[in-house]
Amino acid sequence: MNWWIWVWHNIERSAFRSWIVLLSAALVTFFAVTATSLVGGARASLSLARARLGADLIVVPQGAGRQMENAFLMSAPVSLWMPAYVADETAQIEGVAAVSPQLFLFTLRGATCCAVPEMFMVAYDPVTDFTLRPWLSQHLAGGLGIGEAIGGSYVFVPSGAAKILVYNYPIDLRGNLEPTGTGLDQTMFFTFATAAEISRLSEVQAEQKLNIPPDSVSAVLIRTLPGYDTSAIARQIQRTIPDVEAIESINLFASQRSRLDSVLKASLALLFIIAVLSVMLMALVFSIMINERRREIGVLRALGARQTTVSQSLLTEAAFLALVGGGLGTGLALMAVSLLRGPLIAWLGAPFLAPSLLTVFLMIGEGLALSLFTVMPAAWMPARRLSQMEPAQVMRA
Amino acid sequence: MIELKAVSKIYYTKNKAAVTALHEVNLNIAEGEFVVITGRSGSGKTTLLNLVAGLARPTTGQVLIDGIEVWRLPDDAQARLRNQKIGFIFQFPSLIPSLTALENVLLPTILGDRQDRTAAYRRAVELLSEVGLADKLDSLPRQLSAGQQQRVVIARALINQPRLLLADEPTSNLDEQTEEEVMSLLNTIYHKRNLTVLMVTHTDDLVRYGTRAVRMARGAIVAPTLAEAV
Repeated sequence: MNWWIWVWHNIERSAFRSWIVLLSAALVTFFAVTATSLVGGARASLSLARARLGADLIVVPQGAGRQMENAFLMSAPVSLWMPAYVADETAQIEGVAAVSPQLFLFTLRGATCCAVPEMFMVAYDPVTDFTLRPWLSQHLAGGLGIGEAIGGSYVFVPSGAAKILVYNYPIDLRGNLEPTGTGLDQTMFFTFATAAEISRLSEVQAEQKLNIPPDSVSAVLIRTLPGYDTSAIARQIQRTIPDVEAIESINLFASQRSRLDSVLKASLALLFIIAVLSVMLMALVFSIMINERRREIGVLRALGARQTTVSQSLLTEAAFLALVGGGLGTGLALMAVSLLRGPLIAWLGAPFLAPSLLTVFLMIGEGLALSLFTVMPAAWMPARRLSQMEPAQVMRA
Repeated sequence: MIELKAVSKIYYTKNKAAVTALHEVNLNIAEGEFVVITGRSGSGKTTLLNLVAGLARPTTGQVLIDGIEVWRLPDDAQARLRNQKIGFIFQFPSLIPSLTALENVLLPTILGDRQDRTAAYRRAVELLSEVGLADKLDSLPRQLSAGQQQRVVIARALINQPRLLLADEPTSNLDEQTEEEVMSLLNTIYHKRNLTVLMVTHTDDLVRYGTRAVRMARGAIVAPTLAEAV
């Protein structure tokens, strides 16, 4: 017979009520961890995607901003073209440090010539590029040659094959970038020269030709000089060059971020309501439990239990239920987010990055802390009231 | 050993009406006495016992045990006093239903200061044997008769070898024969262990077990002490 056996006995003999407390804690934790992992993961994805682009400004055809975002975030097929001279003209604008054009291409859907359905492909200019250069210089010092590509984290060579077939053109996958949780993870990057080669050969090799309009680009990525106002440069671009829009990278994915903020606010409001109701329910349950054990608690005081001993016993029971409930809620949340990733992305309107191991541990900690924070006050209130009464009064049940 | 000096206890109802449970009670109990307090229901007997045990605070007056005023002690010290110096036998069923007889007896040993577990276990087994329940160590309270349960309560009251035993109507829930058995046990323990016993009962017949009887009515001691019982 020891203290812990005594605490376990108390939990066991109020099994139904213990379950109510445990499940209430699990519910609060489940909701909180799900909301934070979704919103946090989505925000992290958007930040990583923005960082991956590495540009201060992106120039695209007028009205194509949203399409460009969808292409990057969701790998949604787009057809964006503007004259190639846009790159040269933006380079002339004061405050612009570097410009690099890109082509946005897509593999064919359901075509036999393509090993993967509807993959987003970005062709870049290796001479002017500053987006992929950091990664390439670290992993592939020589850069990419014709017929070579690097892919996002979900791009891989199909099993049994040596290369990836795109428009029946074999691409040698030289490496994979770190995950972002966005459509960029399913994107292949190769040079303008490779794109031109694919386009040329697709006329005879593929079911459909890869059309790249001559003297056209899909987007121009811009890096600005330090000390210059990026917004002013964007306005200047739009004044100087017709039929284009210049999007600051801080405004990239603004609609998704705005939606996430709304989701977060709604989640917090709902979480607050759930937490308050749970605390009230748990306080009621603890009140009932303690009231039923009043006489027993009075007996314990008569046998030599201190006021603090009685409170500690009750709070230990509460802490145990909180930790188990919190663990359960957190576990279920992580499973739900993992298993329902696709539907959740569709609902959220934004991708989200699966949490790293460190983040998972932090989320477990968050869940347990939240659970304790909701359960302990619910138990503390009636326990404190009882501990302040005279033992004889307590026994008068 | 025990002194009550002009002790009063007033309770307040929900309507804030005052109820005087004890009025200016003076009582001295010497070490080694077996004092039986009798009186009708509502006479203040249990209140007096609770005040001696430190389970209720006197509204006025002093309660001293071995010269120490109980309610001046901090909660920890009061708890230690109840745990180590006082054994309590309750009127109502007071065993913890989910604990076995042995675990119930051991309960005071985990509530107070740290004790040698092996020695406590040995004492608990010996006590249960002494009260005639050697074969009921692992029985739950619901598996014991009312008389057997009360024996477990007696064993529990003695586990920490107290000097003072307080018994609040220990036989009120028992039939005549079982009452006789339990009182006989209590008497044997009193003599064997040189305890001081303060017992409250509404059964006048039980005064014969005591060395002194005190009668209470309407919150006060009403009769002078009787001659020592045989």
